[in-house]
Amino acid sequence: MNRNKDDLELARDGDRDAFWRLVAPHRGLIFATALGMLKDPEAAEDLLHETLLAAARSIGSLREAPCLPGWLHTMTRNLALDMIRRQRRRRKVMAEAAREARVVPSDEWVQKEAWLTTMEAAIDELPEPFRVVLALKYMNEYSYEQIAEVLGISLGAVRSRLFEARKLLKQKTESLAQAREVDHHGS
Amino acid sequence: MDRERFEKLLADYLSGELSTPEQRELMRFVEANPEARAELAAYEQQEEHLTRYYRLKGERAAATGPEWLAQAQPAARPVARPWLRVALVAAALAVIALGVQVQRLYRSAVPTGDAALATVSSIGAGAFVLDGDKVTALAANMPVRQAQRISVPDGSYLALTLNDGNVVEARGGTQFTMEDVPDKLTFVLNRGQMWAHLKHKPLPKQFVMQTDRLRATATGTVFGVDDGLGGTIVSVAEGSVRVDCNGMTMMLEAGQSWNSRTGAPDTIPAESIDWSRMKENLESLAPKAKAAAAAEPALTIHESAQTTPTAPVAEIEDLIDLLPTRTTMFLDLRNLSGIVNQFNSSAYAMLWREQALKKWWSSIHGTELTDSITTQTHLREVMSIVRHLGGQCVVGVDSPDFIVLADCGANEEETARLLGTIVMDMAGGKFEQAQKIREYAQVAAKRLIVSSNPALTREVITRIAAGKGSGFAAADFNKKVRAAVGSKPQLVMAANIAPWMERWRKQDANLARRLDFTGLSGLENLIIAPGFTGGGGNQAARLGFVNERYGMANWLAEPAPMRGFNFFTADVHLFASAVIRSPRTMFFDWLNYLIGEQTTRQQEEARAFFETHNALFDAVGNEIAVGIDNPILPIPNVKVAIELARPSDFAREFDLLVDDFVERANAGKDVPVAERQEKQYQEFTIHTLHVDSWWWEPSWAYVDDYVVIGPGKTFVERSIDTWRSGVSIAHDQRLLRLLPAGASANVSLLVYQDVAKAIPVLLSTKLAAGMSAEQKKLIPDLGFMERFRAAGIAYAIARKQSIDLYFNTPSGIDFNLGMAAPMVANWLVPMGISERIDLYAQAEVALEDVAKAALDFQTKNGRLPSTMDELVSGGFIASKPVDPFDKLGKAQLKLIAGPAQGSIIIYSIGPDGVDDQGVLAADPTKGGSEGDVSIILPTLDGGPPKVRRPEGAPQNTTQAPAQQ
Repeated sequence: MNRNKDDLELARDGDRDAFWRLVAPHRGLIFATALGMLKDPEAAEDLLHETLLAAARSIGSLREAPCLPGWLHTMTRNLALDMIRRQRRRRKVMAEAAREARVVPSDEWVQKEAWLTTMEAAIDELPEPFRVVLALKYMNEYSYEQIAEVLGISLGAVRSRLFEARKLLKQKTESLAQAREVDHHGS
Repeated sequence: MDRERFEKLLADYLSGELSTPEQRELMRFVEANPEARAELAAYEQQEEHLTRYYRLKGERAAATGPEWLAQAQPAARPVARPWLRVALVAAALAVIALGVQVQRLYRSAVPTGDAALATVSSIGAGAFVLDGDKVTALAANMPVRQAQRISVPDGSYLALTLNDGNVVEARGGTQFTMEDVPDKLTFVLNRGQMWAHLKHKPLPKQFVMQTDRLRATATGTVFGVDDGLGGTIVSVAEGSVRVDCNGMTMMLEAGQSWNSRTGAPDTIPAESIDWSRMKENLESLAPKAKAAAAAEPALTIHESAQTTPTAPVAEIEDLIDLLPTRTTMFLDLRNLSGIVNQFNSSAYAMLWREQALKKWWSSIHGTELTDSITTQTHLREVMSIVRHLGGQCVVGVDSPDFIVLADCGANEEETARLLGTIVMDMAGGKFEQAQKIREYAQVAAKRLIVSSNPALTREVITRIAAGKGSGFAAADFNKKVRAAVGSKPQLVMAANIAPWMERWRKQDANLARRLDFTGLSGLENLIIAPGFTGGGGNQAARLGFVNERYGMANWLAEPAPMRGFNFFTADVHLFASAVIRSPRTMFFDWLNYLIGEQTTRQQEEARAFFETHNALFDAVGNEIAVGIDNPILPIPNVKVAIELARPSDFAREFDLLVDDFVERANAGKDVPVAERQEKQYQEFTIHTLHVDSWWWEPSWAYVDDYVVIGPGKTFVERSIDTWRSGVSIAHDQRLLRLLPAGASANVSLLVYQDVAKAIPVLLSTKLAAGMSAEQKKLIPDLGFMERFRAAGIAYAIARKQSIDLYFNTPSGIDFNLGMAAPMVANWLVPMGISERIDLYAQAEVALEDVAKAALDFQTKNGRLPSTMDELVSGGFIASKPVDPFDKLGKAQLKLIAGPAQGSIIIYSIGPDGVDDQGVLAADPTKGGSEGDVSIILPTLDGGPPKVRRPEGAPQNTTQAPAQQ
């Protein structure tokens, strides 16, 4: 008996539990894609909810259960682009305010947590495809094959994109750490 | 290797997609290239950060539940009756209207999230509001709001003035949140120490400080709460405070402190007060605290620093004296309820509350298992009985019988009632059956008696009635145990092993040989007397011998200073060092044991080998140290340091041995496969043995009367650097704090570990690397172990007739469970696999039965059946067989037309639960494998029907249960 098939049919008929069984395993995928595009975990969480709602509304258009990950990925991308367009101006203001509110503490205890701030800043500066591939790899623990399938690119492209992302991230974190060091000594 | 190749290998290595030969290639290159090594290390650190970073971010996705769908989805099923829909809508509107009204009322009474509950009145080096991954610094006069998580870093200080004018202080290292409801203001303390100075009276509402372990309530007083791994201590300087903990309530008055871990009054150390900027309020506690600080011993654990015994209870000796004289093992629980209370506030109990573990346990259906076990064993009732006991309990074992004797104290009636409930439940409500069970368990003369043998129960009751003991208390075994434990700890477990050894030696000659080799046959007793001090492990055990030790038990020498530490950095995860009485004897014992069952010729060869290299063994000193620095590297990062009595003799003999090996390895080869290399590092020579087929290179150097051996030159270089710099584990505070004399390792055996951080990494890299997604689900997320991270040691002190073992670790969790976690995971994973294989085997057997029936059908009808129904209606099978892979147990095996004309496929949906029409064949060795389990008829080779396997899959993985 094909359970996925049944769940899909049930979901099309309006069965919420069946729909949830179908999409719940892909929350990480949606969130990773959203985070890769929006950079902001809170916005990504909003987008996750929005995507789930949109998916629930249009589940009737999904032909086969195996297409679900790609379908959700595309839907998340489109909704993220909408959101970026919609909120570009507001987000810019909010981001600046948030950056001002953020403190780079000099205390030894907080230094230990400094990597998180550095990481976030460095990842934010990466190009979008790199952010998406990193999120899929580290948040969802996807293999090369799974990433290739979801993004619709070759295995070689996954490998090189992932490594280029790591390389660029390393450069950025190192330069941010150096900048902090200079700031620290300077002050 | 060029840059491009290096990057390709590095990329795959970081993604965990590198093959073994490629891994070797990369490691060889890295070993020889310091720049590449540094680059690899930097990337590895980045990997750790990335994993941690995205784990933090990903928690949001996992927390999203299906409730979000309610906003979008139409009702799941259309309502058939329109009037019902109208009624439901009306009811919903009414509920919403009522909800809005209630919310309005509530909001008028409760401060909103934005309302300030206090303002910062004084601040030290800094304090922060933690909001997810955002950190905001607090400053003087800033408001503190409802539910904000406040963190005061180590060495800092924070004072808040509440809206009613009272002051609360937080010491450095404290984390807390404030929760405000109409009648109560609560400080939820995650860790650290806070003092409340509630002098502005009357307080507008109740004031509560709460930790995981207790709740302290005050209405106008000065008091403090100190929460750490060692328990929560509440101290009162003025007024009184009510403390609720583990179902108990008590009042503390000025000058008193109470510790949740010991469940007893406590004194607080001087430094617990000194940091306060309002310490004049705390004067009533100051003299006690200072006196306690002056009297505190420097060492945390040693034989002379055993747990302080609880007050002796007269009746415990009477209970012990009721045990049969032939008792070979007993457990003396003289303060049972105290031990239960201590355990409830220990790190183990904290572990049980970990959300990650709870989630994992629930995901593997452990909750159902726990509930089932709890119900079947009547655990709740048993625990209730334990709580009602007078506090003294003795368990005696005279194999195969056992007896439990406990003092009911004033709760005789209640204990009898609870026991009666269990007995009646076990008897299924039948009186006669209950009477039989009561022969094993009953309450008599204020004592609970449970045994495995009714005769034993009767024997004890007769003794109680006569008021006369068995004489066991005065028996030699009990006397020796009492002499060994010295004082009277809360818990003693003792076993008289000598009679068992005698019996086992007589039963089995092979076992006797092993017991003699290990020296265990000379054991007289085993005594364990753990203390729960220190929050976790502070446990001691003694192995007592009848006469002087021999065999393996005699290898350990009496305590001596250990210097092998000097070659290992403070990053060492696991370290063990032993002082050996005579390495020569040790090797000889071992050799004799190994060749014990070999042929005479092999024995002679082995002895000849030993004689030839006699000088090598004679040159070894007394200490052997082994350490694992970083277990996640893809090569075995194990280093060994051996003390040498005669370094030049050892070097000469060892060279001969290595040369001999190289000569043998290269014999008959055109191109040498093995060679010795030497490299100068500082003033030392690093020797290396290179063998083509090995992907690690044993390397060694002679340093400071030690030979240091590592899996590659770099490792030996690092050891030399560590030894020269003096910054080794030997000088690390984590180890020094745990050592018996608080300063040096002067013991016979020492094992140090700091593995908590490595365990999650080990699980995710080594263990989980070859697993399917299904198997990975069985591994818990052990990230929380980092919070329990604490180095721990076990050490032994050998004496002529005994070996005493001690365990010392701040939390106990890390040492005991940290070491066990990989083993548990290793055990759980095959369980998951075996379940799947069982299902596969069931499907295989069921399919073969149907196939045989189909062939019978063919014999009778000249064709194969076209449906399963034909087989049932023709009487070839009784009913359609259920598909074992259907989780609901409803779906049946299927029979459909096959690929060739006249052929059929009989199939099960397989492990993935997806109907592939029997076309794809599932692989039983892979979890969640795609494909079905199927048989195609007629068979191609004309042989008996067999389940199809995919190419490359093992052909005999399963064993059908029906054939067992």
